[in-house]
Amino acid sequence: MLILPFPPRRAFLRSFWLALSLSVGIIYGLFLALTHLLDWWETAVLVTVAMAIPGVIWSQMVIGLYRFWNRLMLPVGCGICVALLGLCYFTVFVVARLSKISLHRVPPTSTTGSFWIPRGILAPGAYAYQCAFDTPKTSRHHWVWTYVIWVKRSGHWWAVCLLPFLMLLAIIDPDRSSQHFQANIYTLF
Amino acid sequence: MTTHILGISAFYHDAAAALVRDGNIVAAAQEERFTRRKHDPSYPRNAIAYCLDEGGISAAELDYVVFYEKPLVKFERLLETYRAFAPQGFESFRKAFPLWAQYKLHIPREIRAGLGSNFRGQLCFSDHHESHAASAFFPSPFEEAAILTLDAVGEWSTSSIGVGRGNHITLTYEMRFPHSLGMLYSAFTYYTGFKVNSGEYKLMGLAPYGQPVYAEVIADKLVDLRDDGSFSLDMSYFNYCHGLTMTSEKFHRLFGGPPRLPESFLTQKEMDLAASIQVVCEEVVLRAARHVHRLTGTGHLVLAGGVALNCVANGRLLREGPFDRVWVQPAAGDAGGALGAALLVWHHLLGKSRYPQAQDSLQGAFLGPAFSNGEIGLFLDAVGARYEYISDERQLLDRVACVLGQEKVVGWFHGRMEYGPRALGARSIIGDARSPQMQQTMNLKIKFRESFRPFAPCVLHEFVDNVFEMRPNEESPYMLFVAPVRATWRLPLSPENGKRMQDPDLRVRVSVPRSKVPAITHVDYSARIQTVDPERHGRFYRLMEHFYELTGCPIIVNTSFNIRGEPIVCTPEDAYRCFMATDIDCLVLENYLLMKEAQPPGLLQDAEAYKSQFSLD
Repeated sequence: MLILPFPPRRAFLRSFWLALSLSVGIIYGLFLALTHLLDWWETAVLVTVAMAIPGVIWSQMVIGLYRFWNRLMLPVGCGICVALLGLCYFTVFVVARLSKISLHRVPPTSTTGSFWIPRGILAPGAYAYQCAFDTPKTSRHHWVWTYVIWVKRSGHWWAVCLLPFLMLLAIIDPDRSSQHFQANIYTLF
Repeated sequence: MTTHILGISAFYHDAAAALVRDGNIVAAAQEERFTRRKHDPSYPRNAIAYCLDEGGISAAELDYVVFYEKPLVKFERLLETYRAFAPQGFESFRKAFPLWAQYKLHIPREIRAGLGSNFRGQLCFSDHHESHAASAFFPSPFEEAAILTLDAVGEWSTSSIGVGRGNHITLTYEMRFPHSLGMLYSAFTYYTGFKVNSGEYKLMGLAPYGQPVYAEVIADKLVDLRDDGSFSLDMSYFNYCHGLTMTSEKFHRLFGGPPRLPESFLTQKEMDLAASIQVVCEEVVLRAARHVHRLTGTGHLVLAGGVALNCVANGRLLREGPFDRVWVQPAAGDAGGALGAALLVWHHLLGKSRYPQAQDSLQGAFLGPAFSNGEIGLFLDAVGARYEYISDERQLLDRVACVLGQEKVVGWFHGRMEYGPRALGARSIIGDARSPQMQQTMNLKIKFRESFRPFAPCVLHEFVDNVFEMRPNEESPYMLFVAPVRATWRLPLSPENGKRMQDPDLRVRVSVPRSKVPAITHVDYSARIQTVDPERHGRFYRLMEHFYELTGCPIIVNTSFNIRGEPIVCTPEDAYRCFMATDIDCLVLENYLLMKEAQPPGLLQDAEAYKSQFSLD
């Protein structure tokens, strides 16, 4: 979401310009308020409107700035993402590992017996869900709700700490290209 | 009331869609064929659009859409694995985790957005290995069969065994990540310099050149294999859990050096490694098959999962295993999961009956788009191609058989496109298997590769036991079984050819004629067989009959209609482009026949420019 869709539709250009005008208006208003100048509120509104109107009417004018925003946000987004991922991995995962909870699904080392593990088959009721057990109709809910339900039902309480990271990454990660999938070809995830 | 179920596999590799109407398979296709990007993993927008079009319905008429696995269970595996290895594995985590944040945790959103607001049906999620098992059992011709799925990894399962009876499958045992036969094979694929998830078949083709000298090392150090085919891997030799490579430094030390660089010269070491891992793989498959036979007591076996594409192992299973009949899903990899998931909803969720068909219900795997003569004619006129329209099929087939008999190469485009990785006579390049030059011509001038592998043969099904060591009328319609060429068809090695068989260059070795049909015979006299019958193959069978009448040979060479790195052609446009950029002599698009020498020179495509569109596989 930090990287805006390209090529842009007119509505995207207008929204971008409106958001930018509003931001400039707010910053300008805050500056006036902090410097104790009179009429800061009215002046900020006036600046916002004056800035917004030409961009809304002649939206093609904005395209250069729109492109510049994307160029600027690409390295910014990448940097923030790496920082977030590092923070997530070296705090949440390392701490979770230190808690000495093992890979509970991996079969125990067997010296004599079989490595085949008994398994069941999905109950018809479980087809509606993204995990193997019944939860509320998760497919119709927001993913955050689905995730929280899964954390609760699966017992992976520590995974709830990942939620803010997942939400931020969904917004900030600049690589929305499907080519990205190829990257995990060796890890097979 | 009619029930429409759409199965989808996506977001890993080989995205695909399949449409099932009241339990009957209407359509199935892989996304790569439409986007022209090999193993395309993205949401299968085009494949879905095709399936709906073939079914004559819109998204609003879909009752169920089913995704082929449980995303959150897979996510759990991901988290647990990283947790087990942290703080190692950050590089892998950096690549994998954003994908989940962006796409894989939002699969319902992606599917609903892709289908549009008209879709009002129910969204379902099956289990990865149940999808594989369903894709193998439900379309099979058996009322009852043992099931064996062998894969890299799904959610947690890497292999599973069970039984199918009537309209129900039961998977009773599984092996779990990271202990995976698919991963083990892929680790050797990586180590020998081939691309993981696509180069495994090359490793299999390399095996006959080597000796299994490393098999004992693999069994001693890497794999703890039990009598029942279950095994555990020593993970210190592998890096795939938390790294960006398949194998670890310890693995490299064990086998005497780093992985071979892709595209570099193949040495005897790689050949021996290929032979060794192939032996181990076959041993695992045979033991697991015997185990599931003991458990179920049934005489039939169905197979699916990526490892089920190892047709050398399948061939041994057919010849040596305890089962009377073996049926393998032709789209055994993840693409087949789309079909399996859709069939699971029909039989398991809705509890509908199943009626096995004498051959199978997969219609020869011809489940993709077809193009009419009218559409093809319009296209050919638009591009200014020179063609003959031959309305009489007999006359057309006579002409094509004659062209084949002159050792020319034919691009054959007829009927519905195949589902799965093999060209089975709908989108094929065909040639005369007797020609000693055919292999080299097809490889260098058409496929643009220097291959050490021979091509696959198509054989009239009534001759299968005459040419190959198979039982009379034994079926292999999906090119999934390897069998030896019979001694009567083999050629003795002259002293000169004996010397050539020692040449370090595999292209020299593969060019030594080993049988009366050298283009399809590997150095160990094996061949990857496709039997062709009139019910499944129709016109393609009749073409082979014409060729047999003309030449007395019931075999032709069949290879996929593409060049290296390119997905198999889907449309007449794709086929014509490939024809004009390669040295294919003749193109048959339904009833249109095009000869290369008759084409306007201005329409010829630059081969280099064409090749550059596709990355090497």
